[in-house]
Amino acid sequence: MDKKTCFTIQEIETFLFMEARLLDERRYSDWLKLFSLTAWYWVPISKEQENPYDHVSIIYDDRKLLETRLRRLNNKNIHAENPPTQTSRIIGNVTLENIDETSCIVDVSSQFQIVEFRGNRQRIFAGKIMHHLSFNRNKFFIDGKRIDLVNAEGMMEGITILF
Amino acid sequence: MNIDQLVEAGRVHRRVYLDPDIFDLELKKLFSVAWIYVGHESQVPNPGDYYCTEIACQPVIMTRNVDNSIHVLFNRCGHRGAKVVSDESGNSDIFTCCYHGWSYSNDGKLIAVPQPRGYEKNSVKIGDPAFGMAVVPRFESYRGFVFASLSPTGPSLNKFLGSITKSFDDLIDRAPGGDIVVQGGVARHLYRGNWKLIFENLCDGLHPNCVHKSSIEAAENQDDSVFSDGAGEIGVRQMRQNGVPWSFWEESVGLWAFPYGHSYLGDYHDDEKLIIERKNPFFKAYYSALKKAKGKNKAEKILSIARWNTNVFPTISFMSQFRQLRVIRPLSVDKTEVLGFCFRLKGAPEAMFHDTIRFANITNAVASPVLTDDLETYDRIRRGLEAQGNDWISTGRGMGKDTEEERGVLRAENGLSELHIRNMFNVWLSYLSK
Ligand SMILES: [Fe+2]
Repeated sequence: MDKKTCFTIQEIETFLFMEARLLDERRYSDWLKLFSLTAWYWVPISKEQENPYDHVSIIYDDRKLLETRLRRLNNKNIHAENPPTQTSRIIGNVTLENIDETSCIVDVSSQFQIVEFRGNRQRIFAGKIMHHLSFNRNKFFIDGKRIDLVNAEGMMEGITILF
Repeated sequence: MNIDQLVEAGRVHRRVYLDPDIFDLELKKLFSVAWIYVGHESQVPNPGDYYCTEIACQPVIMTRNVDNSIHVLFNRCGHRGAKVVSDESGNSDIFTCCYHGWSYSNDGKLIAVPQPRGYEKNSVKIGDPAFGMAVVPRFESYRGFVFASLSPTGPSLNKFLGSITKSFDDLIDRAPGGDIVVQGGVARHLYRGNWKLIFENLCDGLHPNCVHKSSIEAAENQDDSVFSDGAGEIGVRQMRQNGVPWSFWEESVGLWAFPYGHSYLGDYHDDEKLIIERKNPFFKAYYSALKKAKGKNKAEKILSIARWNTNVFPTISFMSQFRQLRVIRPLSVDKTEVLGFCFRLKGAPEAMFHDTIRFANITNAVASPVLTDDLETYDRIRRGLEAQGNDWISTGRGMGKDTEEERGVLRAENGLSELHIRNMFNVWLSYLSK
């Protein structure tokens, strides 16, 4: 193949690890910059959920709601994050699912595990992430991100972290 | 323990939220006596459909029988007591116990037993109610909302609900097609705190400006020109709504309390300030469908009702105007689970149901930027109440300023009153001291 590829799997992994680090370090403004202007962020209530419109979700944010969500996380009056939640996450099994070289877009699946700690309580989250990425101006952008938690259908206490 | 000493005018003893013995008493004397919400008939639309839930921490199942009748049964095998149906919902024309294979029809009758010979001396007979899945003592429906009581005697469902039925009517009558359907999945969450706290909070007009300060400020600073597919429109608007000044709650919001512990919070006026849907793109299509079905005057009358949260003590809280219903299930004295359901109005535009879902994501999702601050507050109440400095919790806001609107129905001074809390505890006490 003589066509130059837009990206390599190493570049994509580097991007995902950098993204994970921003979330663990609570650098939400920097994290938001990774998203394109019409991006969505979605945590469905079940693996079978086909769309976020006719079914409730754990989170479904368009760009506007995501901005407000992140602004709240940085607001000093946020009781649910006082004290702040600490997280440590591992991203693995990174796989390129659909590659469109002409438009430089790619769907990437990965698995994750997050240990969360707040107020002397520890929880574990795990699941699958599907990133819909586009590559332009020499950078990756997240056009959409779907997170399927293994316990999405379970009964959980309040969640203030992002996956 | 003298229960009577725990509730006084304008205050309750902290033990009502903390004491496991009181929780056991609540299961026995309140949750096993009052009418408990089981589910909506649309959750079991076809013969064989079932939906499992709990009453007083006991597993029950609502079923639709072959003859289309609805039944509420204890979800327990008549043989050795195993829970028969384990999926939360589904369809099956026969329920078979995993343990020894006893099988039941949708109305709980024992219909088959493997190796029947061995049971002869035990007089196990097919069809004998003594060996069936027991039927709960009473169940009734109000316009599709199914309630059950574990007590064979007591007031009828109609008497129990009284005129709070108008809130159910408000929800149903908004459907141009004349009926509503539960759809869109279940939003679940769990909080560490007593079950009564959510009933207090859902009609508490004073708390949003404190509890939800972070989401209010975040929403107020949101640039409205940013792209939204609808989720942000509804979400941000709702968060801003929480930030209306306290003067608004005093001047324009009302709170009403009913016999048997029910209450609702609503608008005095139909001034469009809170009937925000009138501005939505789909509203025109919806309005003309409603007008066509009901006539102009009736349609206007239906839309002028502005009830927000209606609490039906002790199991549900719903928003007729926003088509949301929360089921509150106590697990223990300090653990409560909440299930959020959405309703689709028959005959209304699809876009309206999408807004119902968006609204649910903001108000009921476990990761909601609004709800998570309520849950944190419940947790802090649980921890704070452990402190022994003062045994009493104040419930006295607006006390002495209530007026009786119709028989037994009290109207609070304004939307910042704690009337609904005082009313709830008066009723609570009458159940528990019986
Ligand atoms: Fe709240």
